[in-house]
Amino acid sequence: MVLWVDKHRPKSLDKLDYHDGLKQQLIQLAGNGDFPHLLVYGPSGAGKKTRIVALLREIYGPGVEKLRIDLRPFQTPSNKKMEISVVTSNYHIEITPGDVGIYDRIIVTDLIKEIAQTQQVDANAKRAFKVVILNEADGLTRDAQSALRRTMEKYMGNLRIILCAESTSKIIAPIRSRCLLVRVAAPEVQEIKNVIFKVCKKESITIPDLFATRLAEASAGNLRKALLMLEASRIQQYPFSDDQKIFITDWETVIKEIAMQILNEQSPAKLLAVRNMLYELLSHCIPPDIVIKYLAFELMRNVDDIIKTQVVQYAAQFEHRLRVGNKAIFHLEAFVARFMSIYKGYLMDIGMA
Amino acid sequence: MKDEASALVSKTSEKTKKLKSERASDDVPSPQKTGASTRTKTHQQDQVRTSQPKPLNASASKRSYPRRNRTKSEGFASAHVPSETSVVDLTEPDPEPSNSPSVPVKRHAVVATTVRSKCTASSEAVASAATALSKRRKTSASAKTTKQSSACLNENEEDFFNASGKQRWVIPKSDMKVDLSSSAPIEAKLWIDKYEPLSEAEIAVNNKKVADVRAWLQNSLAEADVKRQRSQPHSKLLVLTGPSGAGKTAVIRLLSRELHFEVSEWSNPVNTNAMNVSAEDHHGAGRGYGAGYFSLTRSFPEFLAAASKTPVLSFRSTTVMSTDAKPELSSSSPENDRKIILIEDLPNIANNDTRKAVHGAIRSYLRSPRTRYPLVFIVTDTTSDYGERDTAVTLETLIPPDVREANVSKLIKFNAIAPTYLIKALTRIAAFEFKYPLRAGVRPDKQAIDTIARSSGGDIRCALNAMQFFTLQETAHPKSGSGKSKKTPRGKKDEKPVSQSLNLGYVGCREVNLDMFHWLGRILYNKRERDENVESITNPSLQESSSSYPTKSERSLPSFLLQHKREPLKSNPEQAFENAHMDADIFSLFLHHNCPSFFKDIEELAVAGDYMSTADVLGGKWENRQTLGSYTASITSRGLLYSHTNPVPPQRFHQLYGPQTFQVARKAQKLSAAAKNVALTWLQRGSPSKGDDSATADASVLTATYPAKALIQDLFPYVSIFASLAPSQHNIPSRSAPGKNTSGSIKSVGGPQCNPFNIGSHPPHLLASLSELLTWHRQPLGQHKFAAAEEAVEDAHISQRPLAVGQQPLSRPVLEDDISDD
Repeated sequence: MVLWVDKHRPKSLDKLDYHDGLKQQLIQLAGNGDFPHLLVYGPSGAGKKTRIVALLREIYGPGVEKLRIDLRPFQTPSNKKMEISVVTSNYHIEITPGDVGIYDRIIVTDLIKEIAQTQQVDANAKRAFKVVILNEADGLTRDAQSALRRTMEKYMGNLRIILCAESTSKIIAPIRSRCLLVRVAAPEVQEIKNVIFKVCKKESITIPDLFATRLAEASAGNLRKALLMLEASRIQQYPFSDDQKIFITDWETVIKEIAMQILNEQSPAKLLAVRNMLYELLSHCIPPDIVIKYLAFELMRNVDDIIKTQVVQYAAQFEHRLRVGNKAIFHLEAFVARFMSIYKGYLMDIGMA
Repeated sequence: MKDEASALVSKTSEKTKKLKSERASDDVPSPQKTGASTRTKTHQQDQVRTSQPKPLNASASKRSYPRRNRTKSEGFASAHVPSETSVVDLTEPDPEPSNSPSVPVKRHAVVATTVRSKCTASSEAVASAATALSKRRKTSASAKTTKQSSACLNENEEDFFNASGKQRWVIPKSDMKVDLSSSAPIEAKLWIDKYEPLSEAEIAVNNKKVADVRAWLQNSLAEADVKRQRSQPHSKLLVLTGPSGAGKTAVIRLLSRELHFEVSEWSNPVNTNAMNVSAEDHHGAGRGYGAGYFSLTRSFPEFLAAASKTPVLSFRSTTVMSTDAKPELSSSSPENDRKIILIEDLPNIANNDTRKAVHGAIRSYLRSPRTRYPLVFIVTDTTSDYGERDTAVTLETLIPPDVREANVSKLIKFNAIAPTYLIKALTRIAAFEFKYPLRAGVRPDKQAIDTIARSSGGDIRCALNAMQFFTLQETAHPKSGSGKSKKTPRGKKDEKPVSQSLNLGYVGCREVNLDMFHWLGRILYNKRERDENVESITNPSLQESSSSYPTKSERSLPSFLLQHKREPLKSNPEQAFENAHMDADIFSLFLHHNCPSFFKDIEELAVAGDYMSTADVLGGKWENRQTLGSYTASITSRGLLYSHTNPVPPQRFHQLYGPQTFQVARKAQKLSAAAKNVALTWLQRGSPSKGDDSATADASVLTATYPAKALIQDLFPYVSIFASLAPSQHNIPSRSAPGKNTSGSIKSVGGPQCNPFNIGSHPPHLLASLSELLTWHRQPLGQHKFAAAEEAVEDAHISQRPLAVGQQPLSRPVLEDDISDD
């Protein structure tokens, strides 16, 4: 069984559902015979990967879908032997350098060099170059990015690199300038709805328009999430009803719960309770910046306009510190405490507490 | 006249004591007489030498004829001195050299010495006595008073082996007041060497441990004696562990005397640069290493092999074992061929090659049928303050795992020396050292000993050093007894006059971290001075303001700043940080973790949180952490103190806990790795039947790789939702295969075999983490239990260290009384 997200993923460029302009450009790019290095960026669930794979398929044919998973050994400067798992087809290779932490520079230099130095294996390949996809490129260290710059120039002959990132802000300028930037924006509500209808049609189920809208809105521009929600709803209850429960992920539930607790009581004791929930989120790999963002917006939805500016200001301040700092819990908690303090003051002012 | 007559005083036989007591009561020599007596001393010594059949060991006397003196002591050095107690009576000055010493006219000092020596030791000791003599001569030259003759204790004598194993240094009896006018010698030896325990009564180690080691050694040596070819394997390797100063080595040395075996000890070659050593490097000479270069990888096995083959050179029968061993020398005699191989100076096993070589050597030593000598390792238990083990040398890395698992070794764990034992030993030594009332230096009183013993953390070596150092201080202050030894152990304020606490404050004892929570409590409880007349020495900012506003009345802040006014702190937060012996990082974490329960107002906590958040930014880059660490600690602690004006009404105690951050991070890392692995497994499973859908049993779950973020935030949560929903409502072919579900907690995930969430086929190590990943939210929110918190209490990184006497790992309650002194 395949998740609907994967099952109904468009396989070729012309089947892409939205961003028609981008689609045309990509088709032309693929037809051109050659293309530069790409930096595909956009929010999570916008369809970056779908477009990359479709582009590759356009270039190399269906062969790119035959995937293998290899373990590539490599050696760190301290002679530590490590392995990284890579996903390969005959034509391309997909690496997530972030998997090996601080050793990502070695991946970028040695491993990519190794790939680049061999010619295309398949003589019938339509292109002379191979493609390396670097996932989570915005997680590359500065070192690795600098190393990548050289690699990109040196092996232009038989290698194209496609970087996949959520934002360009963490990519150093030299790399940005060496790549063709492809922005994949999050789909609009209507576009998500269209996809939902299309998937439902393929699955031969019907969905009320209202429910589809609710799903699309709840997904907040994340198509993957929309489809997962759709599938979850489908499993839970079919036929759909308009007011059917929409499943949100549990970490979002926890953040909502945190917000409710904060709004209910503002005291050091409550802060301790909140801390445990924050720890729970962190220990389940929910990144702290996501936590603070969701929490801030969740809180803002429930407070008066007067203090919203303050809330968002402090959220920004603490998220910034969180990024430069070391221990996420300090900043998360400081934000919570600050909000509690602001909110308590507000309640005092309006005479409710 | 700069001469000083000195006499040796040590343990005396009954007869000597009697003699002495009558002599001591006889008279105290006048300066004139002393001078006279010293003048004639050479003669007397000549007489002693010639007339006495068993010559005395050199009495460390000083005289104005250095050359002669030296020849004297050399002469003595060559003499073999059997165990004997002899009395030397220094006689009345007599011009007649032929005067017999047996007719003492005037006794001025008693030299009673129990000579316990073996020949090697005695020559060595006398040689050092000679150097000590010359040293003393110098000092005596500068000394102003030479009026008093001294019955000086020769420390070198003290160190001689006591073959009979009797108690060597005992509290002097009242009738032992030898010479009231004696002055102290200059310390030539560390007390840790001087008072090395020579009998079980002296050693401060628990009797049971000594008995354990003795039993093992006896057993092992007995087997070696019979030369059983196949000795019991467990009798070959003994490992002693324990904190430093717990008496591990002392026990071995003690037993070596008691059981008469030789200790063949490995010491690391000095010129080995272990970092560059690899096994093959040194076979070629062209590597630029000098000829004297030894590879540890080679020399250690060589040492073991050589040590196992060479029997003991047994010339000891006349010396150490003179009392009870057979007089004849025979190296083949099993009694004489007793030896253990001691490895205390551990090779640098952090280096991979060295470790391999060491392991190999140990293995082959144990395996070899010819090994007769037991192998003893002494491994100091280096659990550092935060429970992170010093990974360089641990038991685990030192002894090869197969050896550890095979039942060939015995491990005896020493504990830190209990305070009662320690105090007893220190008291005994102090009493012995200060048996002469006029001995220079400060005699440690009971309180001082108590403090030293407690602050040493059961490290007798450290405690002895501290005590010796303590005695050296100038007696400038009135010898009132109350003045000294005021170093506050813990729980006491240190605002007492500086001069009083100096005495022990200078004596650096081993820092004990029992009071880490105490120092944290200092900051968390935030005690402030309420009375105005206390100088704000602790708060620099206030100090500054007080300097700009000279009078106290003007020190008050302007009205618009009044909300920032704080009373002076009772203790300095920087000092607390210093004393807590923690990383700034850890320190902040501890404070952060424990602070909310001390706050009453969320507003204040918000300010404190802001400060902590700011401080953490400083530690964001690891390059900066070293330099900015102290700032981090300062900002954190001062921020806490500043913001904290309205404390929680004092409870009896607050429980303090260790931070959970590390557990959380570790768990997150584990789960993230698991998630990636699972995704890959799903992708791999799907890839052969690409393009097809659920027709095949192990159809692909995923057809593309996902970034970790997407996996964790979108895919897995929804997968767990799918799994939690009843599969029967879904129209997927429902071929249940419950047997495939190996993990109980994922039972709900089971159901149809083609369900992707049937993760039973994942490797087991993934299963655990994945089930955690998938099921964490499935509990209703009301029952949210932070499992990691409990886990944290159990395996917290600091729990390996006994934090308090109560051995409670993480939650030593900080009593309010601990902090307050009123």
